[in-house]
Amino acid sequence: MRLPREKASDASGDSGSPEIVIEESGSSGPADGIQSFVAKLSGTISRALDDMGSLEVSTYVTGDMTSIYVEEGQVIGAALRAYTRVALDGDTIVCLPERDGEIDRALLEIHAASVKQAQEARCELMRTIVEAAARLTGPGR
Amino acid sequence: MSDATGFAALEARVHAIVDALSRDEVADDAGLARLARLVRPAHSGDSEGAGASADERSLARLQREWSEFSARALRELEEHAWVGGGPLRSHISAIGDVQLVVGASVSAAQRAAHLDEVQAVYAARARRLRLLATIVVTARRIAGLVVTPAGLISALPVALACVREAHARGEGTRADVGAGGIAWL
Repeated sequence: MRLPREKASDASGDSGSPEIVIEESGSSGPADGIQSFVAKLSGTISRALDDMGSLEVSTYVTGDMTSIYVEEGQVIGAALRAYTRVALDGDTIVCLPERDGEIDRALLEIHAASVKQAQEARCELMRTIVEAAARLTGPGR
Repeated sequence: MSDATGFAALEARVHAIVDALSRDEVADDAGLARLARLVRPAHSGDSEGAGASADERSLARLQREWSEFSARALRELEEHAWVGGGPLRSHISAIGDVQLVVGASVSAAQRAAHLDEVQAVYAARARRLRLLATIVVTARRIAGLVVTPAGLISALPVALACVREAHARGEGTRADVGAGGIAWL
């Protein structure tokens, strides 16, 4: 079986890996590392927010699941059949799957379920980021 | 129990632990006493002896674990992930964009199972972010308790230890057994 080039365990985002956080042994107090770590975490959150202008779900089909991989953001080894892009302001682009001149209902169902799940997850991620940001910058618990 | 509810319970336990440390109410609790020695080794009464050496080893180990843990956690917040191994596979970006690949003949059960797998990845990412924020908030409180000489100890590793202790108490396990691992994240 040919493994995808980006594996779940070690694939990196386009923005590159963040720096490794190592506490400085010569720090002047117990709170010094906190500031440094908050800066790194805030950077990660900021980069995520920058990319959250829209949500994209693409559905591909293939006859050989062992030959797929992602290269420069594109799935290689499978054909794009459905695409949905939802902008923050609600503008939506939907490209529907077709087979023999008709909508491929089975594939559409799978795609729609994935879009719904991704939208809910995006909302939850936004909520979590806002909460985390408030706690990282706030004084209390 | 939902993820959010479970996490709120974990946070409550973390703050209860820090409250106990701040009031020095740890005498009859081995787990809390261990954490207290990390925060205030000078109070352990044997800072020159074998106990102090053990505490230093614990702190050094915690520092290493924190470095490993924080690097991994930050990296995973920005990673893409492949989910699934059957006729459905999803490539999920750090912000939740999805590239779903569908093979031949997918059953309803396989579809449902795949959505569950993907949901687990989304939930893990949210949990990881909440956890990091909790560690920072806890570390700020810990920093106010530390009485060791400046530079000797960072609050973040101790905060991680407090969160781990809180997690272990929720699970009914001991935090210091096999403490090198962070599989619970």
